[in-house]
Amino acid sequence: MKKKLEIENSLVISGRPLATQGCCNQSRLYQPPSGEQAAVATKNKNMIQLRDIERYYRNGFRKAWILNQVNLDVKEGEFVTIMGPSGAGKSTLLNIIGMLEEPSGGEYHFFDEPVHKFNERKRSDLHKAYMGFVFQAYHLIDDLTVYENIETPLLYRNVKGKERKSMVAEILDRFNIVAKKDLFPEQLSGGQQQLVGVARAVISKPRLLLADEPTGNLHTKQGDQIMELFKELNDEGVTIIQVTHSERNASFGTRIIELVDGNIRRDEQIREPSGQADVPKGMPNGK
Amino acid sequence: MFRHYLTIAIRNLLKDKLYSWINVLGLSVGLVLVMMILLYLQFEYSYDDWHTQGEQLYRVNIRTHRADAQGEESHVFTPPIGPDLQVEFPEVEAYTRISTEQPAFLSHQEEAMQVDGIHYADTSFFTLFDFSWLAGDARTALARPNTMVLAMPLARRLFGEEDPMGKSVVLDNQQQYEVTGLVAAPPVHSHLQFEALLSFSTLYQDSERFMGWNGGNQYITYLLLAENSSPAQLEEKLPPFMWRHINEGLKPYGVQLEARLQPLRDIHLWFNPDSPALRTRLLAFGAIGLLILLIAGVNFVNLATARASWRAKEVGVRKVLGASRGALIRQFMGEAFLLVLIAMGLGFLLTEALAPVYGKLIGKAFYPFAIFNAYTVLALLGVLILVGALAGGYPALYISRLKPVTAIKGGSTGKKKQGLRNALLVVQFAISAGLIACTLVIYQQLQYTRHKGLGFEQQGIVVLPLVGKAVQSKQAALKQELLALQGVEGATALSEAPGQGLARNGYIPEGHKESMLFHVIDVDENFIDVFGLELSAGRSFDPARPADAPAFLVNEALARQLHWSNPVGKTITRNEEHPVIGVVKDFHFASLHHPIGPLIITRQPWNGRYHRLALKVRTSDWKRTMDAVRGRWETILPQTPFDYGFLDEAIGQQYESERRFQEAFLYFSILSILIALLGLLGLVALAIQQRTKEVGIRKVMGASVGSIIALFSKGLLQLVGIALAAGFPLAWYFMRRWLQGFAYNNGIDWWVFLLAGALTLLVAFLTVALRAMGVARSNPVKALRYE
Repeated sequence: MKKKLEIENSLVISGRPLATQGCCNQSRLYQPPSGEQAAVATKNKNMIQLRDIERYYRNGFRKAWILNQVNLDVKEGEFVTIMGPSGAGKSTLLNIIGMLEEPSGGEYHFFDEPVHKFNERKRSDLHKAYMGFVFQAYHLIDDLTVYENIETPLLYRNVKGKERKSMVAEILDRFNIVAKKDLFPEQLSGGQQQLVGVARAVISKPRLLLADEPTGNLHTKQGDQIMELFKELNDEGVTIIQVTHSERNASFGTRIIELVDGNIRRDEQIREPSGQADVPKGMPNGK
Repeated sequence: MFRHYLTIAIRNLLKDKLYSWINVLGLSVGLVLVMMILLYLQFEYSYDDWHTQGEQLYRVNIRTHRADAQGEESHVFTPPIGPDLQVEFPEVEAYTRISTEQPAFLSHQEEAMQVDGIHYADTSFFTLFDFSWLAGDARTALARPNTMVLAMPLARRLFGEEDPMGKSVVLDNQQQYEVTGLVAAPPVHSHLQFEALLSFSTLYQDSERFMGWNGGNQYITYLLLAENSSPAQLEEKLPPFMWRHINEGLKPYGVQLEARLQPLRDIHLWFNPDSPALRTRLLAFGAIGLLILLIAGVNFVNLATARASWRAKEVGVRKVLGASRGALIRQFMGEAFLLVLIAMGLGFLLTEALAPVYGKLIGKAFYPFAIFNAYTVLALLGVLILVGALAGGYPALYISRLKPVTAIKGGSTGKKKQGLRNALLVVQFAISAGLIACTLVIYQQLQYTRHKGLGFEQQGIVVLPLVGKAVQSKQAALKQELLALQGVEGATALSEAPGQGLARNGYIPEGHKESMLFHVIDVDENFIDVFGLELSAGRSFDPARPADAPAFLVNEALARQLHWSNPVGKTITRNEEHPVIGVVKDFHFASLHHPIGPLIITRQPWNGRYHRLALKVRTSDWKRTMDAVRGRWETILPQTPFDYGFLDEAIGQQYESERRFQEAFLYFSILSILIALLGLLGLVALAIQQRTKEVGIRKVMGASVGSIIALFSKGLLQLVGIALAAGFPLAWYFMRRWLQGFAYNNGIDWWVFLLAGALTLLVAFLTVALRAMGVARSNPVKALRYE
């Protein structure tokens, strides 16, 4: 498996640019100003900047706080693990970063774009242009085959049919699931489903991969496989933020953030982000 | 992208078969009904729309104004009005006249038959109206006296395969007519129907006929107005015209006639005697069509929204994967439209298959109508867009708005959505229960009309029509001969049989100066006995008293109208003074739609001839008796075919259109409740799917099968209960209006609603319970194992 991945890995790196026209055109607005592109290339550019992010629910007259005054910076190329006890607000934080949820207050800059000022449509365009999402429960679409599940993000990015085909074929090959492409999710084991989930998340070449307990439903061996995959993606330059309970999973990353009661209790870099800080070929990097 | 949506849609349909079937079947059955109703409406609206000069054709209508009564409408009038109008008004380009139906015996060589649809018509009849000619010259065929044009079915009956052109046909064994033209049978959607037309010029040779302004109310006049001329302007000029020709002379009698023009195309829907009933029916069917469409559409929306929660997760995932709202809306709309399209295709096939049956049910042949034509296709396209947009639109808009995170978590569709679904369910069942109640009321009223005593004997009364002078002149002899037969208990000659309405004439009662319209029946002295009528004052005709010849009997309604507390001894004048010698108790001589009107019973038939002979026959062996009657008839009247009818059947015939109405209503309401039940079934199935785990847990805790069924049915039955409360007042209101069309009606019994409510609740409960039974009985471990 590992070997295969490495081979494919080099294929991706040496391959033709896979980012698509549709994708880049749509996301042009939110690309960093061209002047900064050089900065990105030189050294770890600040990707995410959270300032005083808070999230609460109104419970009668009282506010139930999920997140309270969270400040966080994530540079491109990092592999961040968010840990903490149940109910600490890990998933909420991840969802806010992934623009699936809105904070109740605070500022969120993504590549210096003020996300907190954007409307839903702009946010979702930004999300579409930069992010991939992996879920604990895989969340594959039951009515679609493996192939179609992986293809779906490309459909929403208006990738032309032929190109779509070759991109899906490549991913299937790289993740070693070609034989499963016509099966429906229910015919796969949990590990295989999550593999498809990751393949689907990365097919659109996101620069940020968000994973909410990606191995939570898997046994250790399958979990390690997914983590290896994440590490490789990170080595290729994909920024990853994952939520997990597992110290073992955290050890794959470069930085651990511990969240307790909606506050960051600990923020610790455990490793330098791998040297590949610059944007790998084939990743969407603007014009 | 499109293909992607299509595969997903089709997989969805196949995966959830029950849901798909309910949706498709429910909607297609609904569409079948709507299409059938559309066809019917289209048919009724297409009457007389096929004449090339139709826009310029008008029927002359006469409104009679009397001091004592409201204006009476009639399009039957005297012959000269058409010719005089043409002479005096340049905008009247042409006229044509056709007489009322004049049944007669037609014979050709050995073949003789009674024909009802015989009319006299002007030569211009075929230049104004476009009937399709098969042989002869349309412009001249009816020019000469004693010529006739046959419609094809009658030509076949008379001549078989022989060519009728130029052959002669004998009318009532007396007059000879030459066949000068052959036309196809008049189309069904024509208010003018005939079997044979005789030349109008023949009438002028008959000295017995009134052909002037003052008599012979037997003719219908149609005018062809010049292009661009206004009928309203012409109508304004008519009062002076009418004054000159007739009203001046009528003034002393307190009668004035007003001539009006009725556009040809409007006659069927607005100006025929049964037009009001027809319009009610069109309105009712149109409304039912819309309601059924509503029910089917509601199913669609309900099931789609109920399933929305099912698909919320998919939507959430898609959103995370980058789906825009538009893309999701397109997807859901597309799926809805696909389903509607399938339903529509199925509906078309079903309609094609059912059209003949339906034609019979409505009593109309639909052969000139294709289901595919501009109107229906347009209407159905409208339906497609409407149902598709509603059914797809609501869930599309709603689900696509869900926040991806909430959606993925299982997408609470929320209590509010349930509220909408419940409201729609209530609407459905309100409609269905209302229709059931209406059906019961209609059924009850028809039973009532069938069994209500009419005030006279109708069982065992056989009516023999006496057609033509030759037969009518032998009436007395015939009556004597038939009375001698065993099984014939009584006989009376009369002008018309009571029960289906009687003619009216003008009379001047004692103490009045102006004439009044009273119904009249000419009978002989046995009438009262044979029909079992009762006298409330005075006596019946006595053949022993020659002075009785001009005497009148009147009914109580007449005495009431004239405020005569003691009518016997009063006189009523028409040509001469007639003494009133007795009063009969009121009886229903017309259908129950009409109140009992004032009636005069005379012994002096017009021209001294009766048109019918009524026999009272012992019902136990009526077959043998009628054979004997036929034998006598054939010896006395060898030239004339024997024909008879039972009075009770003829009376029942009057309610035929109501019977059909009831039948159609019955089918419609059954189908509407079926569709509503299908929807309920779908909702319950979904609820069960969503709560399988809950049921499992409850069962582990010891819940019984009954309590689980109650769990699912309680809420739904409450909704049905609310629906009943909403639907019944509406049904009551509409049925009360319908019943007002009957002068004698049964009213609405409370048990009708009780029964309709019980029926609705029962079927709704069974639908829910049977479905819930399955899950209630299943092993809870199974339900809990997966998760």
